[in-house]
Amino acid sequence: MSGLPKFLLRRLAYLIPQLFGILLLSFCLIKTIPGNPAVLMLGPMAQPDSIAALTKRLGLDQPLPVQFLIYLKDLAHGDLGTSWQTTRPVLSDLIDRFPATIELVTFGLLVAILIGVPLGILSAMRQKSVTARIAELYGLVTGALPDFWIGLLLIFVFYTILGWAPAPLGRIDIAVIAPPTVTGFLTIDSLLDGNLDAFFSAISHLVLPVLTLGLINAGPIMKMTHSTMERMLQSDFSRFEVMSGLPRRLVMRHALHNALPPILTIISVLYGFLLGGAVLVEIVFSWGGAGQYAVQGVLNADIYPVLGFVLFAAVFSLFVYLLVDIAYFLLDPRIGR
Amino acid sequence: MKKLVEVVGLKKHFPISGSKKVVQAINNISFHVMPGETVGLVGESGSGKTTVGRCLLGLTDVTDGSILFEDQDLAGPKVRKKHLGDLQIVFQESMEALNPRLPVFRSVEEPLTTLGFDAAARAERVREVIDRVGLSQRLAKLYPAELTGGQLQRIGIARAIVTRPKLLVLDEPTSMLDPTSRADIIELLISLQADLGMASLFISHDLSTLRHVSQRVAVMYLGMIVEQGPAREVFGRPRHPYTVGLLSSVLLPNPDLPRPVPVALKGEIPSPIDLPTGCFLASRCPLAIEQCRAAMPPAHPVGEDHFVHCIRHEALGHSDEMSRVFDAFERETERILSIGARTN
Repeated sequence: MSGLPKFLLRRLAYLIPQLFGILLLSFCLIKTIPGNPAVLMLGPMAQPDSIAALTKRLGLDQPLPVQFLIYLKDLAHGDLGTSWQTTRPVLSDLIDRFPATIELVTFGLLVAILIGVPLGILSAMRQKSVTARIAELYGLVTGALPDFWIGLLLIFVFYTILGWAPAPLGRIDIAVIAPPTVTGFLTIDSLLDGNLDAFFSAISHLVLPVLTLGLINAGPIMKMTHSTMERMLQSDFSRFEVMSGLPRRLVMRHALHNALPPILTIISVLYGFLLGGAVLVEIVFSWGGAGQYAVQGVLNADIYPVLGFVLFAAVFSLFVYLLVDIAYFLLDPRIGR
Repeated sequence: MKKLVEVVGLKKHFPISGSKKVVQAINNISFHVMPGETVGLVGESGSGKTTVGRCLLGLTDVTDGSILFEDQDLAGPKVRKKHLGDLQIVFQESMEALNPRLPVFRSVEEPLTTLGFDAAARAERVREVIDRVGLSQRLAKLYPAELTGGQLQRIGIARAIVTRPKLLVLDEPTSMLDPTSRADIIELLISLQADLGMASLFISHDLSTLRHVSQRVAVMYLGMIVEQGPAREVFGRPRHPYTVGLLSSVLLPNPDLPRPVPVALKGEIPSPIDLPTGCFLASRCPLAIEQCRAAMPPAHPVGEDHFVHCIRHEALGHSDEMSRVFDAFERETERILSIGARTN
C-alpha cells in the first residue's frame, strides 16, 4: 500500500489545472450566449445611457480576458459574484441549494445501485430466465422514458390518487420547523437536531423524487453490471472455478470483483451528470436545488450563478472521480504499482 | 488394459436463438484414451475439437452420447464430483484463464480447495508444482498481468497438474506462444507426461506439434472424426482424403522438399447449420462418387486400431513420392521442434 500516498499526490496535482481549464471553457461558452445582463436587469423601459452606465459598472465593457482575470481575482477571495436575480452572493445561494441537490442525487443513485447491481448480477447468472427477460425489458423502458414523466406519474399515483405522498412542493412540510443548517442535508441535520418530525417529513418528501431518479438511473447501471458480469462468468477462469467444484457464491464473488471497475465508472459518471441532469426532476418536485438555480441563470443571462454552479459541480465531480481512482487502486493490483 | 476415457456417440448441438435450427458442433463421435497415453485431436478451426474438450470437462453439457471415465458415465449423479480433480484442462489463452485479481499461486491453489486439503498441504503442493513447471517461487506471488505469456502458460499447466489428474486436456496450449516458448512448453509437457504417467488429450491445429507429442491421433472435420489411429500411421500413410489434404497444406520450412501431390480440397467448409446428408467432405473431395452423398460413411478398419470414415479410401493412391514427403515432413518438424528445447 506504500504506493497509495504517491498515487494520491499525483492525482491531486492534476486538480488545479483541471479546474482552471473547466472554468476557462465555461466562462468563454457562457459569454458566447447573446444578451446583455444590463438590459435584462434594467427592464424594457431603461434609457440607453443608464444601460451603458450599468454595463460599465459591471465591467462588461472590458475585453473578455480582463473580465476572466477579474473573475479569477474575486474567486481567490471567495467571491463568486452576485446573482442579479436573487440579489445575493452566489456563494451563499449555492451553499443553500447545492446540498439539496446532492442529497437528492445521492439517495437517488443509492436506490439506482440497489436496483441495478443485483438485477444485473441475477440476469447475468441465469441467462434466458424470467429475471433476465424482465431486466432486459427494464433496461429498454428506462432508456426510453424521460425522468420527469416518471416523476409526474408517481405524483399522480401516490399523491393525487392514493394520497400517500406529500405534495411535491419542496423538501419539507411548510408547517414543520426546519432544523438548523449544519451539513445542508435535511435528513442528517434533523437527526443531529433530534427533530424527528423534520426527519420524517424530509424523508417523505424525498421518497418520490429519489424513486424517480433511482428507477431511471438503475437502467444503465443494470446494463453495465449485466454485460461485465456475463463476460466474467463466461471467461475461462470462472469456468475453471465451476469445474473445480468451487461454491457458486465464491465464483460469483470473484467474477464481481473483476466486473466492479466498469460498474464503478458508470456510477461515478452518473453521479457527476445528475447534479445538472436531475434538474427536470427538481422542477417537477419544486426542489429548489442547484440545478434549478443554474438553469434560471442560463435563461436570464445571469452568468455568475451558472459559473458558480459549474465550479461547484466540477469540484464535486473531480472529488468523486478521485474516490473512484482510489477504489480502483485498491481493487486492481495492476494500477500504479 | 482398461480404457481411461471412452467417448461413445457424442453429439453437441448449439441452438440458434430465434430459429429452430441448430449448430451441429459435434456429430456422433467416438474415441477413447488409454491410461498414460497422449491422443492428439486435430482439425481446422471450427471443426469442433475445442468443444470436445469442453464436453469432457463438463464445461458444456452434452446433447447426446456418453462419456465414460473409468467405466463410469460422467453424466451420472455424483460421478463428476467423485472424479473432481481427475480431469483437468489447460486453456488456450492463459491470460484469460487466470483470475487477474488473484496472485497466481492463489489460482494454482484453487482446485485443491474442494478436495479437502488444509492450507499447509495446499501450500506444499503449490510449491511443488511451481518448481515442477520450472518457475521460481518468487513469480508465484505476482499477478497474471506481471507475467509473460510463456510463464502464464506454465502457471496454467501448474494449476492443471496440482490435483494430479489422470487425464489432462490441453486445448491448443501453445498456439498463442512464440516459437521458442512453444518448444519449451512442449518439452515440459512431454516430460510431465513421462513423470506423472497421466493421459492427455492434446487439441491442436498444429500438425507438427501433434506429431511430436501424441501416440494416437484423431482427425476432426465438421464435428466428426474422419480418421483415427496411431500417429505414425496416420501421419505416415493417411487413408482419408481430408487427412491427406490437411497434411499437404502444411507449409514445409524447407524449399528443397518436393511439393506433395496434394488432394486439392475445393471450396469452402459447409455450414455446420445445414449439413449434407452424406459425407460432409463430398462437396470438396476429388474422389467423391454418388454413393458418398447418400449416407454417412461408417468406420472402416484399415490397420490395427486405425479407422477411416471413407468408402473411397482404397482409391486414395499411395505413391512413393508422397510417403517420401511425409517422411521428410516428420524429420523437419522434429528438427524444428528440437530447436530451443533444452534437453535435461
